[in-house]
This record gives sequence, C-alpha cells and structure tokens, in this order.
Amino acid sequence: MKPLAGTTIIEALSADCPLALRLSVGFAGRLAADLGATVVKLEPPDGDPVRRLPPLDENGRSTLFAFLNAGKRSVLDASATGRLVGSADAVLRDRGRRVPDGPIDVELSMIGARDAGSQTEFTILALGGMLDIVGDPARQPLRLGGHQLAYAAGLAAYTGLVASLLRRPERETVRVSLLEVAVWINWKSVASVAAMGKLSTRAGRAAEWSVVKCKDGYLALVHQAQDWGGLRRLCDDPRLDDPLFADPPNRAKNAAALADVVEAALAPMTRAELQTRAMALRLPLGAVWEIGDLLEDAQVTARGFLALAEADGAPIRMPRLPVLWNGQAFPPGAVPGRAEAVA
Amino acid sequence: MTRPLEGCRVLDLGIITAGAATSALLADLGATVLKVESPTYRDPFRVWIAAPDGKGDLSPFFRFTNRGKRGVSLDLKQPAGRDAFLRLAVHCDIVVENFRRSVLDRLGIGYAALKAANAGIILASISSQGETGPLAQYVSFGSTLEAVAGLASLTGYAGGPPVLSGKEVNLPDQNIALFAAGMILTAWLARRRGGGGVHLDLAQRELTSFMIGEAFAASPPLQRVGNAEPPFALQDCVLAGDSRYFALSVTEDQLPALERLVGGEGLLASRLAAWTARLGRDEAVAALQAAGIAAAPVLDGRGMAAMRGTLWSQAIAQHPHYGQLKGVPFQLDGAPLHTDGDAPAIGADTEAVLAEIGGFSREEIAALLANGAAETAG
Repeated sequence: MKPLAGTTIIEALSADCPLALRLSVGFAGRLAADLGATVVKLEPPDGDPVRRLPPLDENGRSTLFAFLNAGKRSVLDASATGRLVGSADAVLRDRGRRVPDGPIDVELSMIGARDAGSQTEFTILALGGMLDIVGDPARQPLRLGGHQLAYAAGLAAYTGLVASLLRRPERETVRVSLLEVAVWINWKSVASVAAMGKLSTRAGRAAEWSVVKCKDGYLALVHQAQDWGGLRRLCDDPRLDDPLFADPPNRAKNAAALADVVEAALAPMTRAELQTRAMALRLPLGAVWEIGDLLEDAQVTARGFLALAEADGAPIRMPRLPVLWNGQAFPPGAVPGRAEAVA
Repeated sequence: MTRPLEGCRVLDLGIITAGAATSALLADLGATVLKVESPTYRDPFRVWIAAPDGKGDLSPFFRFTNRGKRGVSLDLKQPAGRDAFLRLAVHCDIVVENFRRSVLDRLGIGYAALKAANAGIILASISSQGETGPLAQYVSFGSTLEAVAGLASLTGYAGGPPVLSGKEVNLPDQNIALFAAGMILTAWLARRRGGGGVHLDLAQRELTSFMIGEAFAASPPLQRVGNAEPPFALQDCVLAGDSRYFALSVTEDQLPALERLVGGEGLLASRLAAWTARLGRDEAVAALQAAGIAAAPVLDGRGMAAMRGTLWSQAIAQHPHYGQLKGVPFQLDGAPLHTDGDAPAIGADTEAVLAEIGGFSREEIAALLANGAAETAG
C-alpha cells in the first residue's frame, strides 16, 4: 500500500491565479498523487491554462501539464464541487481562492499577505536575490532553467501539507510564499552579508565553480580543498604548480585563470571519459549532460528513473518520483484528459 | 500548539548542506535532533568558511544549518562507539545521512543494523546518484548535480555555454532538504498509520532532474534561452539609467500598454532601452507596475536582506544572541515552526544525550569517554 493511500487532496485555484502558483500547486499535488493520495484537480470549463503551455511533445501536447498532473483526477470546477472540497483531507490553493472550512488549508502566495503589485516567478526571483547571483558580471542577471522557484515552493507546500496531516484532527493553515522560499534557498547570500559583510554576486568565469569546455561538450568544474590532488592528477599540467593556485584562497581569487588551465588540459577528453576518471579519483566534477544524453544514461536506466505515463493518444516520458521506498519506485499515474463533471 | 514532530528523535549524521539542512528542518518542525559527529570526523561545514572575529568559534554557514540541534560526538569506527550509536537508535525514530555510499555499512550502522536495533526506524539516505547503479560511488557537491541532471544544459544565455547556480547558491542542496524532509514526514505518517520502518533512497541527481521534469518529453529538445520564457512575450533584466537592473515579464496582451508607456518608434526592445535609460531602476519599476506590468528591482544579497520585515520575514530568523540564523520555508498557523537555540559545539551534549536518551549509566559513559569512543565539548 502506498504511504498516502486513503488521503484526498483537492487542488483549487482562482481564475486569476498567477501562473507560478499554478505550477507550485500542480507540483505539490503530483508528489502526493505519486505517493498514493487521491488528488482531484478542479479545472475551469476552458481547461487549466497550463494545458496550452510549452514545452510540447512530438504530438503537440503540453509536457508541462502532463508532468505536473500525472496520476490526478480532473473535475470541472463548479458550484457542485463545494461538497467534494468539504469532505477532503486537504486543499492546495492560491491566496485568491476561497474554500469552505474543514480540510487542511494550504495557501500559496507570491509575497504572502503583502501587496507588492503584479509579480511573476521571474520578478520574485529578482526580489529574492536569485537573479543577481547567476550569470556573467558583464551581462544581465540570469534565471536558472525550468521553473526552479515554483517547483521549490511546491516542495515546501507538500512538506507543510504532510506536517499538517500529522497534527490532525487539529485544523491547520499552511502558508507558502514564493518569495520566502526564494530567500530560504538563497540563505548563503544573507549569511555572507550578515556575518561577514561579504556581498555575493554573479562572477561568471571567475566563480569558484564554473563550466569549462571539453572535447564533446562541457564539464562543471566543482572542487573543494581536498580535491586539489585529484584535480592535478586528472589534468597532469605543470601550469597548476603556479603559486597562483597554491592554496584554496589563491585558487578562489584566481578561479578564472584556473578554469583556463583546466580547460586546456581537459580539451582532449570526452565527458564520458571525464566522468569515469572523476569517479576513480573521487572528484565531484560534473559532465554537463543534455536531456537527450540522459535518455540513454546508464545510471538513469539502471534505476528506472524515466517512466512512461499513460495519456490520451500515446504515453508521455517523464521522471518518476525521486525516491525509492525500501527499494520500491512510485511510477507516475495516467495524465488526466478533459475534466469530468461531478454530480 | 504542538508542532508536528514533537516527541520525535532524529540521529543526524548529515553533513554540509544536504543532510544537515534536512535535519534542521525536522528540528523546526519540533523534532529533537542529535547531531552526531566523531572525534575523527567533523562536519566540514564547521570550517567551510572562517568564523568572523568576535562571533564565537562557529562558522556562519555551520551555525545557519545546525541551529537548534544537540551535539553528540561518537567514534563510529570503534566498536564501542558504534554500539553506543545503535543503542541510541533504539530510542530514536529517524536517521539522516549523506555520506559517500557504503560508508554507513562499513561503519556497521547501515539499514540492516539499524533495523535490527529498531524495526520502526526511518533511514533517510541522501546521496549523489542513489544507492544502486553503476555511478552509486560518484561524489558531488550541489552544482555537480546541475550538470549531470540536465539543469545546466537548460541554463545560460542564448547561444552561450551552460551556467551553474554556483557555490553561493548550490541549488540542489537546498531543494533536497525540502524534499527529503517531506519524504521523512510521509514515512512518519505512514508509520503512525500502521506501516513499518523505511529506508528512503534519495538521489540528489534524480531530484534535480525531477525539477525539470517537463523537459524529458519536449520535442524539439529545449535550448538555453537566457531569461525568455513562455507564455511571456518579453521577459528579461534591463539596465536602468542608474546602472541598476530591474526584471520584467510582459504578456502578449500587455504589449500595447508597454508600447504606450515607453513611446517612441521602431523595435520595442530599443524603445524600452531608450525609455529605461532616462529613469532610475525604482522609477522604471513603479511606472511598469502602474501600467499593470510585472516588474521588480533585481536585488543583490544586501538588498534582499534589507527587505526582511517588509516583503518577507520567516525565511531568515533573528536570534537575540546569535544574530541571523536560517529560518523556515513555510509556516503553520496552528503550530508555528521555530528555531530553538544555537548550533552545538562538538560533543556539547554527549553525556546528557547518552544518559537521558540512551539510558547509559554514569560508569558506561565514563568508559566511553576514557576509550575515546565518545567525546565531550571542551
């Protein structure tokens, strides 16, 4: 039996719910559905706008909708759904949506109860310091790929929801603000300023950890003090003996020069070769794999990480929940077709 | 007002961020967290960055991630230290670890040994690649995972190389704490509903790929596109006249409003740049907001910290003695999560924990200390 079997969760969103919160709620609900909860998604008559959002698969279907909603039931959002909501264990909603008292109430917002005007996931990243810190100092601040903040808020919402299930029968309201999650993730920037007066900002090539080219792509040059010996063996380049790189503070200060040397030394090697050598030398280097590479990746395959979810027309590829439970995986359920009417 | 994990005990072998931050969140949720270090192995976060002068002996990063825990030091490489750990496990509910794979088994405290001591134990094993597979022995820090999981391949300026969140953010390590805490709570709930103990195999690489889950069926494959993002017709950071950036997201429907606001003729991007050059960052944001367009200043760490109490309040806690500490990522109205006390010195609570939780006698504790199988602070 799956751990959340017997638990019913409703996703209820206002008509003008910000897109970011649609994604956060969907993500939290997906985790619950994979773990065995009955997750009912209330959809407007013209469908969740996410159904029309890219990325699309080869059949023109939104992979974003499929990924976020696999394993859920979709029901038309109408007056008759009040009873459905009232009898559920928990409701995931945005701040603009009102729901009847009773179930655990998980409220997601962009900036809590504060009025901060019109915001998107991107502008909240700006306020949370997460744009300033990524990218090249000579260019504009950069967002990370995908929907990192909306999904992280979904993780927080899920964790808050289960925490509240533990407190039942007490009724609970869980509050998740996208900006609070951004600041929580970016805590090192606050710690650096508060405790050391050191401002972290994007450093591009001069960052302590950056990306270097190799024969067939790129490698994430990630290393700590204890990795220096291994990195020197991997590179086998006398230029690393330069006093510029003598100790961790110097390596941090001269990170761009270090990246240049490493890049030149590793240029003849492929990502696969570098991955094998890094594992042998216990180095935390990372081959930059493209999505297409991962479809064939030995580790991904060995762990059955990519699954096919049932969907109208043809199955859709997506990751399974990233946990094995006493070795057992939780494959994604079917992607819901059009919303059904509920009596 | 009882927090969800009051009465629950955690043996925290977590180090640096991924494991230690998971246990920190469990402490905020009410659990008693015992941070277990060893006379021969400290959490590397204690010395990741130096402690600033006059703020005690704790590195800020360590303090942020280990506040509210009790400190225990046991030499798990000695049989007596290992036995003491397993005896504590009898009276605990959850173990969190993020060592290299096989370390726990080699120490004799793997899942089988823990289960033999306490059948209901929940072991959360956080690793780079998971417990199984050809790369199980691979080691990583957060940004390694952005590379191997596909996130870096989707992050970067259009046509440019992949970009990492870097050492300062190390995104995968922050995310795993949220996810692992959620899975541990789920296992705890299932146990209360009659389930048994569980070994949770949590691969950080898999979580990092899951956080871009929609990319795996995308056709054609997704590219690095800078800040652009559907459904927005325009989304980017723009430099204002005062050399500060602001961020904006404009939908297709809002393009006429933006064109009216910026005036001029020609390409919208150059008209926007010309309009922006005449304004300060905050003026530009105010004007865009007044036109109903999402916009915000691009804040750096200092600017973001200065918004505490205005735009956010819970994510960083303010302690009367220790200054700022890591706060909470969500809040419960009925039983507010909170942070109790400072991070522990090594072995600060070894004797108290062995006595109160493990039921060790004074003589047994003295013997462990004499052999170096246990260690106390100072």
